[in-house]
Amino acid sequence: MHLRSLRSIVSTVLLFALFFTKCTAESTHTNNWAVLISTSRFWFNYRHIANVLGIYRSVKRLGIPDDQIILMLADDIACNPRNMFPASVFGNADRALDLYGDDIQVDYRGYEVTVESFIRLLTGRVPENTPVSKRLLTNENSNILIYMTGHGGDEFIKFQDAEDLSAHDIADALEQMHQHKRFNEILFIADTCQANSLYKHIYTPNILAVGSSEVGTSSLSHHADTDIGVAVIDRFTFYNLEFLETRVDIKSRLTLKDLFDSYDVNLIKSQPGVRTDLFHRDLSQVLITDFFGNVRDIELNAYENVSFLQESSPENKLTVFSPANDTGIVYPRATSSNTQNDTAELLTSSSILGDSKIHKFSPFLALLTVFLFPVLLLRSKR
Amino acid sequence: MKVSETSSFWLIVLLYVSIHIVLHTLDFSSILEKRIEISTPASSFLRVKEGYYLYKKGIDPYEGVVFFQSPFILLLHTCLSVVSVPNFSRVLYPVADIVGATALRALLLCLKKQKRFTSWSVNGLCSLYLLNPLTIAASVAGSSDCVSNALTLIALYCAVVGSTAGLGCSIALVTFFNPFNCVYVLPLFLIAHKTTKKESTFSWKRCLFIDLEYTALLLLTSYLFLGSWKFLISSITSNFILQNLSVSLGLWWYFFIEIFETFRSFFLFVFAIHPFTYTLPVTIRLRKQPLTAFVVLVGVTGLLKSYPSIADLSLFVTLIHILDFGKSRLKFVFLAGNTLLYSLFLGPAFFQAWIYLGSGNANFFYAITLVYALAVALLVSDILRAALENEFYQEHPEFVGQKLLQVF
Repeated sequence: MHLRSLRSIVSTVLLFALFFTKCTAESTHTNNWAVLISTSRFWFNYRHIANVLGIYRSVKRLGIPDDQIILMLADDIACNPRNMFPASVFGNADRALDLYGDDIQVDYRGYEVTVESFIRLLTGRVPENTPVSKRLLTNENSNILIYMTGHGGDEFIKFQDAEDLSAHDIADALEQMHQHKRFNEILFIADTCQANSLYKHIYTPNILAVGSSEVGTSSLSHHADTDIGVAVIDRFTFYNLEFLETRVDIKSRLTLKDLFDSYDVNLIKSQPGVRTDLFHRDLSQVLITDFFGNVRDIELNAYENVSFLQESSPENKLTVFSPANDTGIVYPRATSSNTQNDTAELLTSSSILGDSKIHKFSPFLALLTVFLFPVLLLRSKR
Repeated sequence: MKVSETSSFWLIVLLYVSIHIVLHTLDFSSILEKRIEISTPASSFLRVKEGYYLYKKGIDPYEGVVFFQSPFILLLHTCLSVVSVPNFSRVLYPVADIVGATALRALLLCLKKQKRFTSWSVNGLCSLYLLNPLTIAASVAGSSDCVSNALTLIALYCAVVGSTAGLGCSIALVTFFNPFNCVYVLPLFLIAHKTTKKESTFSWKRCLFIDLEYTALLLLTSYLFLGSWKFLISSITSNFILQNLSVSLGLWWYFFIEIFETFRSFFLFVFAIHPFTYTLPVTIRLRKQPLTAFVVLVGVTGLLKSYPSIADLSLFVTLIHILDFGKSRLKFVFLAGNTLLYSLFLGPAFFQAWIYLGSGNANFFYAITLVYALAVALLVSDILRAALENEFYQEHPEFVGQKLLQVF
């Protein structure tokens, strides 16, 4: 066998391997949504509202707009007669940040937060007259963050002190979402007692689930505010928020692996669990902003110098040189001729914008023509 | 030392340039080009920049709705942007103002020779045009209306001088620039005709022919320059269809914000036709004083066009001084002038209260816009009344000195 053909086979295999890994490692979502729900009510469950509002603020800060966040709260804390700081909800005893503020948009409040409305929201089977702000308008390219907090138990979570949502129902709702192509990937986080039981029954691919405590153990609150009189934040959420607020911004390349590695059992005082068997990407490649933010890679190079692989992986940012040369070495290279030019050069006129070609009839010629005519006329008159 | 008139004119120009330099150094241009009284969707410099950027990228600038000004300004901007100094094309606007002032001076001298302009000094009026804060603000902000004003003054000069070819070309340029400028084109023919009655070197047929020729040339050049005919539809209809309902100093935006869809086309038609309905009656009635007709129609255009700005006002304020009769015939100058000042100061204040402070609403600002329109309309109607009075006194000299009472 010729060395040349061996090299070309090896390089082809490497090419495909590269293509394959690139394909699976990079996220393919185009929009981000968040469903943030606190399932408990009453004053002594202050911390659950504070949990959700803390996540809400983080998610907004990282770029997800209010239109794409479904916030479900009992919303009975801020204006509760027992609230010493009316219209404010704090997640920390130092009261440095008012989580409630004056620009939050609660989509489901009070007794609208029920098991039925939650499942209808997820599956999209909402009543006909539901306003757009209360619908989860996702598609197959949406990454959804689902964050649930409240009181829970073994395979259930309590809704508004009146009903339970079981882990089976969660799993079925998520499967329905998958059947109806309503998501690309989901990150499901639960901060309740025995939260890890909630994701036990999920059987849909592309879902990553995180729970705050193992079956049989409780999730604990972090601290209480002596003036407010009740606990203001839960431990699991507190340490998650600490990570997000201090280390993550919209340009961050930190991954979920970094987030999960930061969990310290001694601080959280419960055993958080992560379910990764249904999730096909390596956690060290999943950016935090893939779920918590609204960020996307934008490719700015024109589609010239395209190798045969480019057609099959349009989101592949590396253009691999097809091995027509003798060295047989595969070197990935960016579409270099364009990077030498103005990198912000958009698509050429022959691409997406269709046939609006511009004649480069020189503007100077045009200006000359425009001014020459009256001058000639006036001279001829004289 | 007696300073000659010419050198004092160039001193005024120097003063204007130095004010410009000072304001640009203080970065007033970025403040002013965002003010809605100065830069409108039909004249904003930012939009010209956007159009130029699209043109550079090979995309038709008129494909979107951002840029719908005349291709002439895009052409000038493109040619000037070749110089590597950043924002060099801004130099177009003070140059246009100076060109307009030169044309104004030339036509005033011509009028003075014909003894039709006696009230002010020539340089005084030129300084009123150049050193007017309205003009300076408009050119610092890069409003295309400066170029439009310059072209209007050039057209007026050609009309006063009576040059056929010049008038034809300048009318073509003026109407190519903004379709609303067609309102005040007709009196220019009469002015030229009246001027050269003795020598009869002005032929309106030839002038019209040259006008059409030059317009065709401009259209063709724009087509070759841009690559498609989209500019024609876009630049003409965008002024009338009012897809962009940005707040301006005019009367259109508020009305069309609240109009129901079913009535929109009807009222668009009415509003669009409105300024053009003044052309023929005013020109016919004031055919013996076409200069006054021209001034009246300039005022009407500035008042009733879809996206007016203060540059229109500055032109009108300058042109008031070259009426056929003396300015002393006008009765409402003090009232209208003060109302204008009032509205020009209170307008931005209410805009600030509405948009930035949130303590006012659109009605506050629109009311002041209406006051501004009232002032301009007052001036226009005063000019008309004075013109008719002047005509009456000329035809019936026995009534000079007696008080006239309008019965109907």
